[in-house]
Amino acid sequence: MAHPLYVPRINNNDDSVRLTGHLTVVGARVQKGDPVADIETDKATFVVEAEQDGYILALHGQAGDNLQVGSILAWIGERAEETIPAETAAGDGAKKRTAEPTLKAALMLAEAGLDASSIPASGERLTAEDVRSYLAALPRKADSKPASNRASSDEPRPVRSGKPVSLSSEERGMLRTVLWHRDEAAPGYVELQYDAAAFESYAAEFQQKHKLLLSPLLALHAWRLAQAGLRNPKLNSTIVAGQRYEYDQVNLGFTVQSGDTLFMVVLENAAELTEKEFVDRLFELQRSAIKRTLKANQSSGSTLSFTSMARWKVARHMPLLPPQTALIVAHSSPVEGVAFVGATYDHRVLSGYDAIQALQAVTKISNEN
Amino acid sequence: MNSTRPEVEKAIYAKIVELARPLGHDARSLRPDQQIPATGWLDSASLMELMLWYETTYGLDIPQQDLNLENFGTIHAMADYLERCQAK
Repeated sequence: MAHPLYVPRINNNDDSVRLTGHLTVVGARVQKGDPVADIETDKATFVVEAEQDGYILALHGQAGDNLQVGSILAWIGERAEETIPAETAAGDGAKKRTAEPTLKAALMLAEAGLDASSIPASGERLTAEDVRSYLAALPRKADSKPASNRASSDEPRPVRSGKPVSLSSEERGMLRTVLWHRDEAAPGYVELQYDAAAFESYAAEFQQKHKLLLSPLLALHAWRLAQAGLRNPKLNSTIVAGQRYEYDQVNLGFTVQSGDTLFMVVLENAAELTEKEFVDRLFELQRSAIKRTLKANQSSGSTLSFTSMARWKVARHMPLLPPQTALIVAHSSPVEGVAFVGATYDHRVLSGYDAIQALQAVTKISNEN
Repeated sequence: MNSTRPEVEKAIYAKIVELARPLGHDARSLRPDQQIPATGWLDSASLMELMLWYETTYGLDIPQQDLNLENFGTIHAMADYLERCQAK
């Protein structure tokens, strides 16, 4: 049986890709994973690979052609002499047919946030199998895709000699964050000037009152962020398949620097804690991070985040959004009495006004709207 | 590690000075009875690093509830805490 190989989607915003060239020929024997064609957009290049062993029965398009995402790029058969299904054999990458989806296919389309017109049907109706095949042909999400297959136009191959060095788990985590930020979010940034002296005074009183060894200043800001996420669920959400996905609880991410390593510790269900409980639990997590004894759920899965670079005397910074979150607050060091907090936010979910309201909540001593 | 009290206090002092330096602070004037957090020379992460070093160096596993100003607020307090632990 002949199997179609579809043109994958490289970037969310690109419905077509440019065929750079075929990497095989009709009649060639291929194995699953062998390169079939090079495609590109303005932002990235991608090698389309064979999805099963077999023979190349047909290759559509020519170098330089623009191909519709989801159209058929090639046919692969189990035998070299197989015929291509008649109704689609003549189709090339620039053409595609739209068929009415079956009920099951329609449900799958809705769940995936797709339109039937973007998926070629193998028969009169668009079937669940067609949708499954199409989804299987899509590039995997940034978190699982090898970085080597996502070389962007601003990351050309080095012309000088060098050697590849494997990334540490922390570096891979940062790469995942960067790719999600670049490929999925629509980042915006706002900042707010506030009265840092008043908040520092409040934190110092809190520290003395509870005989705390560590300054609770950052934790007190972060607790207010968790509370703001409880009041406004949009802050604690992301976009999935064209819908806002509101998390059931606030899992507060908080960056901790230990030596050369940057951790994002995660305090689960943070908005349910009192101010003092939150401070204590966050200290415990910081201690675990420095001891390298964090559990998996304590180092991933943040839904709303806080970071500070005040220890380095950084006056302003724009952090990257952790994957599938809408807001991260950036705390900085006051300079000559003037202090700012900033927020990077996903503009698909939040407006600048939402982000400013969150910053107001984070810097207010009283925990109010 | 079996150290005399002056050796312990000297080691704690040296570690604080070392941790403060990359943060842009010169902590060499720190007195043994001076409250460490109040100087502002060490932030929370650095204080955590100090505690980790303290536990590792002297073979302790400090319960979370003991991490307070009374036990670790000054060099003297830290040396006292170690003595209490070693006396048990």
